[in-house]
Amino acid sequence: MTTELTKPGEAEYHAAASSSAAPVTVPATNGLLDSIRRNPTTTVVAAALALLALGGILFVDGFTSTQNVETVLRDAAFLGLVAVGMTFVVVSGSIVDLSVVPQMAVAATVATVLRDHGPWISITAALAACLLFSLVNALGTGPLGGNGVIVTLATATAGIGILETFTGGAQYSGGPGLLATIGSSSVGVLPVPFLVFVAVAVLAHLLLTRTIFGLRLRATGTRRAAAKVAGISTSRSLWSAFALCSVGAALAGMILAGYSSSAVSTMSAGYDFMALAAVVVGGTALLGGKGTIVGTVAGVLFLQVLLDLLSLVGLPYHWQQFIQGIVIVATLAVTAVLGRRSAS
Amino acid sequence: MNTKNLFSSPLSRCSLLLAAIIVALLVFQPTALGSYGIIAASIVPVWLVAVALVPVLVLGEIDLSVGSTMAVAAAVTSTVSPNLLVGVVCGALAGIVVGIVNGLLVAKVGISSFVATLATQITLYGLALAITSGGPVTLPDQEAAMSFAPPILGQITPAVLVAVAVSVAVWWTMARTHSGRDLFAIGGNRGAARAAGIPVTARTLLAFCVCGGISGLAGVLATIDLGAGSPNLGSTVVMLSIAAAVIGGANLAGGRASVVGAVLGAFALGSISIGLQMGGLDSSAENTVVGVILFLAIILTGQHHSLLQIIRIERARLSRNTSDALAETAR
Repeated sequence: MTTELTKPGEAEYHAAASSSAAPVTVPATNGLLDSIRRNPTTTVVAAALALLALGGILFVDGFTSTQNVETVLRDAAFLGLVAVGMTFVVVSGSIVDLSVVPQMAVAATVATVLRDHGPWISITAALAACLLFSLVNALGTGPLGGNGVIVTLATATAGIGILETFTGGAQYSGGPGLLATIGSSSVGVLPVPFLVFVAVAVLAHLLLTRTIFGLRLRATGTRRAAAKVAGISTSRSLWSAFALCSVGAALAGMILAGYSSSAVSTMSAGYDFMALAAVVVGGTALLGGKGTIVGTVAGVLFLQVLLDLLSLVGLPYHWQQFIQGIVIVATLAVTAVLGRRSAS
Repeated sequence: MNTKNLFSSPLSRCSLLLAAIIVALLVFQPTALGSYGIIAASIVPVWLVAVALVPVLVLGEIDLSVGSTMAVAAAVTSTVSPNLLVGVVCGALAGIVVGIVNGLLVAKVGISSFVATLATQITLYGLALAITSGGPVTLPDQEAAMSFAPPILGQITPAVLVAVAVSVAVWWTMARTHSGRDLFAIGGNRGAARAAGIPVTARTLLAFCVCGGISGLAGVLATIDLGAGSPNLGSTVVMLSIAAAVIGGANLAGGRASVVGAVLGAFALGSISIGLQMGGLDSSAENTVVGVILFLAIILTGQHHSLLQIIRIERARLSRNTSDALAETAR
């Protein structure tokens, strides 16, 4: 019965897929210009990142030291794993997943507590616990039609409450194991968490741009009602987006626990809005439907390098936050003005 | 038919939720309602900020920086002058300035309000930290601050009266003035409002200004209440006040939000917290319950029609009639 409906839908996917692949055939010289025109925000943030890095290399002592580079890349990896997952939620049109905060802490706690049962059992349990969050989030935003902010606020609040009920707010200390090894070792100057982040980002990029799943997700985010009429299971798209976000948060939480060899319910405070800031600075539209993993990665690196430079320069912590905020506002303002100019 | 009407308006559903919570309180914690003054006083920050958000939410915008605005106002109040009155005025003014900045970023620069106020939230928190050097600053004039503490009308403290006055003022503005009605028109259909000659930019600025000013006032009141200005003042208030407004029937997509609903929502959330605290439950249980209530509110209020809508669409789809499905979606 439904085949008649899904068939035109599938045809539409293929049409869209071929049209989105079309820019590839454009000569390489125009390819760069074209991608700049299509993603002004990503271009601005990438340029700002390059400027920051150049300024750091030229003028700031200790910016290029092995230790500093490792710190920046490792911190970028934790934020980046969350932000890459969050990109899927934003693209799906659900605005934000505030419940990444309890998810990171839950994953860290579960993995640390179950450490003695071997890495695979503890990691599977941590992932499963986080996927429960994504189920509730998808139920609230999909079939129940709730706003993403409110739904994930509910799961975030309840999640922290449940976690603290179980742990009593206690801090669990970890020890040697797979996660500790991943968290604290490096390959040359590159920390292993950063390599994990890069691998996840590449997979996520392919998933979002090269698969039917990515196309369906973007269709859902652009106009959910229209996607539904075209035969897409928007509930499934939403759940997949939240599930991918959960996986990102779980990885970040577990590796963070491995690195700091401890887990506590407050360890992930602030990751929700910082990850969202990275996603948005990277040019993903908050209204859904549009967004790139490349932009998110640039946004994450931009925020981390900025924060690192501010502390290297010797600015007190209180002012770092202020300057960081001002720079984010400025970036957003520049892209908003550029976006309007290119539209008119 | 009557019961259907009872559930049809978000405000009545919110009142029912509040009534259910009060009944639950009466059953489990009969003493809680006896100390209504404590409940009211502890709700003041979330209450004020929820009311502050109403004009912004009606526009279909959001202000995530309200908590940091509170913190900046608190920091200004406690550091600017040894005279409390000067501090209070400067604190409230700081809130208005923040509102103007947010309004300009949204209405003039054209950044989406969620993103713009997310960024100003980070910035203003940093500013509050910088002003206070990271920790709470004791008010210079403790005696003047203490004189606001004792109840003056039954158990009602001056802070609660201020919150009542502000709520009435915002309600009156929204319901009885042209500027207030304009906000609903803009939130309902921005393009149509602009075409009808409503100054959209000016009204957006006004809404953010009101929101910032009242949030600043909330920060000032909290500072007087604590006797110190803390940069971490508003961190929990943001989400609770958005939740209160939504429980009170606000639609984040714009066009619908109510002052009465926001106040009821704040009381619903506040009574739960106080009731659980009086029942001896710790903050973790409180968080769990608030999260669950919020999820129930999503089902109860606001988007109630969507389930029916989905069923209709699915039915239309099953009968292979795409035009029906399209018509349903458009409804």
